[in-house]
Amino acid sequence: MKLRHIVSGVLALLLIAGSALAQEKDPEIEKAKEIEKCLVEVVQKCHDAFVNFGGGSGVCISEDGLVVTNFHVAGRSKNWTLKMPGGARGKSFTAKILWGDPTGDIALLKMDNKGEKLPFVPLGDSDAVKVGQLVFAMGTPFMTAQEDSVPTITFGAVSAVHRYQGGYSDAIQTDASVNPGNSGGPLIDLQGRLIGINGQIRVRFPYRVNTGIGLAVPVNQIKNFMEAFKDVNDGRMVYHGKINGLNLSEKSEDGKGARVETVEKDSTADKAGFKPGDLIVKVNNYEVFNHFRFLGIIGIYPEGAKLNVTVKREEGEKVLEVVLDKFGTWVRETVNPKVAFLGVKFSPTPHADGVQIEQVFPNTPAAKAGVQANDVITHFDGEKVQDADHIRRLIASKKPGDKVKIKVLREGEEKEIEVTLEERGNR
Amino acid sequence: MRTRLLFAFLVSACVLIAFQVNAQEENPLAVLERAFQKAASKIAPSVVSVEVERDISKPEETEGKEERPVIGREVGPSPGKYYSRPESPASGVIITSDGNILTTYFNVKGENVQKITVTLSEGKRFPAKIVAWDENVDIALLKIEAKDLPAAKLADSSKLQQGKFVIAVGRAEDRVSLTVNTGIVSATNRLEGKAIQIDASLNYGNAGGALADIEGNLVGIACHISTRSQTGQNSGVGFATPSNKIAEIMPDLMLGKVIKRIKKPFIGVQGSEGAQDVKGAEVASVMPNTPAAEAGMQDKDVITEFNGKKIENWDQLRDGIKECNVGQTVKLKVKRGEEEIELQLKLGEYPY
Repeated sequence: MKLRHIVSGVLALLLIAGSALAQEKDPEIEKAKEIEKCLVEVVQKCHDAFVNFGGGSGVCISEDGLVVTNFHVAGRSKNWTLKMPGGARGKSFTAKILWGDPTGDIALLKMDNKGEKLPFVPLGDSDAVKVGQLVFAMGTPFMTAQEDSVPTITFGAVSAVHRYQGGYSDAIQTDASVNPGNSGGPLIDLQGRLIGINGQIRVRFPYRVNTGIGLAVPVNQIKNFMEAFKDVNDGRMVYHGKINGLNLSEKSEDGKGARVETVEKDSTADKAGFKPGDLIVKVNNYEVFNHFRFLGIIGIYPEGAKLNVTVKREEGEKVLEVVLDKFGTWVRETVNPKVAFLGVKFSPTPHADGVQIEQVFPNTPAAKAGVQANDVITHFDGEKVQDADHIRRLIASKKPGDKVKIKVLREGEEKEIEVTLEERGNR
Repeated sequence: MRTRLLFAFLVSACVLIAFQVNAQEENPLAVLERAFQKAASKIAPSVVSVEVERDISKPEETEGKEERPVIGREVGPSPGKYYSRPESPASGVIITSDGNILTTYFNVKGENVQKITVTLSEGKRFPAKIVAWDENVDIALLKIEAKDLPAAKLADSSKLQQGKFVIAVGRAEDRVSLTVNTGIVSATNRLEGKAIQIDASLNYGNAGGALADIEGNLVGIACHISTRSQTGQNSGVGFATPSNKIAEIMPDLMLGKVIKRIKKPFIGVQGSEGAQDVKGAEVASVMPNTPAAEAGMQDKDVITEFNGKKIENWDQLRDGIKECNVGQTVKLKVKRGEEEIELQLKLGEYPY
């Protein structure tokens, strides 16, 4: 009986002591503050490397002032006055474009650092990025950094990797808030390394505002281009690559690879040794699970890149060496309103069978003729379509009013559609 | 008897051991999770529901036309309407134990307000009257006749840093349930020091509610959702009036002093900044219903002269606008394609 009293007495004492401690300093809250400190410190470390493009964002990646941003942010001008955090209005630097990659939506610039060592975010490894990993974005959404070029920090997780979507080949998807103005800004890991450049918000409704689905161009793609074009500094456009003459089947291979359907004679694919029926299972060290992933992997390399493609055949696996051909890209120029007009947006990602349509604009020749988004145009006026650049040249060779037969692939079925081209006008 | 004693001893020993194991192998995320819960429970009793009844037959005339948040209407261009005020109640924060309550001025402004009702955390309802407000930081002070209320503890907002955790705490539409959204500080000094920026979701009902730190102390009053979505949906770019600003204006508000808006000149264009190939201030977009729109300015116009001064970049244009007064008419020159056009523009008032 007595002992029981003592035990309960001790327990009561322990409880009181516990609550007294809690009133002083709650160890759980102290622990939470330690976790918080980790985030605050990495943000502080990277914060000053933010580069303000006015309506868009960028990041400094070397102490001598190399800046990465999106092509859709910097592509419209060769010379820039950029701002970095510091002082009431930020610090200004003049900069020029070294090269632009409209297909991959990346531009590399060099700021005139005047001998000053600039704060920068080192390049990370986007192949090591895991789904669920915590990340943060820096940028100027809704021009929030307009006053002092202090970036907006938003925090979230990596939602997915290797997204082949919206013209991006191998995007990192994040749920950290990304809004208009975040474009070109960095996505950074908890070690303070650049893993991607935020460039797109996927939306269902026509308001470009955060949906929780942001897409970033992976840093390894940027590294491939920086390496290949390290001597380019005249602001020219650089090109992606593709394998001419290699036509893939869109049929599902149950996640095991991408099937080669046909190989054109004497083409790059033929010379590299591709055979119809080959199952492509790997490109360099990347596993290929279907034909979209194959195109996505090719999309992270520039023209001229030498790749090892592993194919599976009856006689076993074989590694083929192939040097990528130039994938034509289209740079927006002043458009003549009198030229022939089809009325679609082509996907910038290479497609084995021709060129895929990303969007059909309403009240255009394409829409009137029944062309649909996701159709793949294989032939234009009897000619086999190579890529987006090629079909644009074919359209440009026609006159408004011309009737043209186009062949499209729609859900695996071939269709022939007649389109009457119109004047572009101010569309 | 002995077995019972032994049993009691064993149970207490197990409890003690379990406590220790728990303390050693605690998942840090679980610690964080409980810290958020504790912070929310600490601030929760101070967060109230604010319900405003309006005479809808009368328009809200204070701003001349549409209802809109008082500050930070939108940092970027707005394609359509300002966000409109839904019918559901918003939030407020008890600031003194004798019934002083803060909310955003946006929640309670307008000449058609008929009745304001505050519902405390346990559901008790009080009529409230407006004591005063500050239009510059979007804060209004309400008073209810009550005593011994749980006032929020103000934190020092100058100690905030980018990346620190915050919770936005509000009252749901039922006026009693708590809503807690977690996030981080995106920036500490926005809208010329009038706002903290956060990435925690803020929706209409959060307006006037608490922004607390991980210790459950008040770092700000949630005041604005920046969004281009006409539905008023959250974008992850939200603002709150910092606690130090609140501490600064409280004495005046308690005396019933209304702090009027400091008028700043405004033309209503968004800049396309930085491109050096452009000489002048290039307009990315002209906001609708603004002086620039009324003057016939168009997207992509390049402003080369403003009020008699040559303009080479955006900083010069901003300085030029600052030197003018609201209501003043100025001449400006713009380049539109190859053409040079002269326009006349009557400066309006900056929306925040």
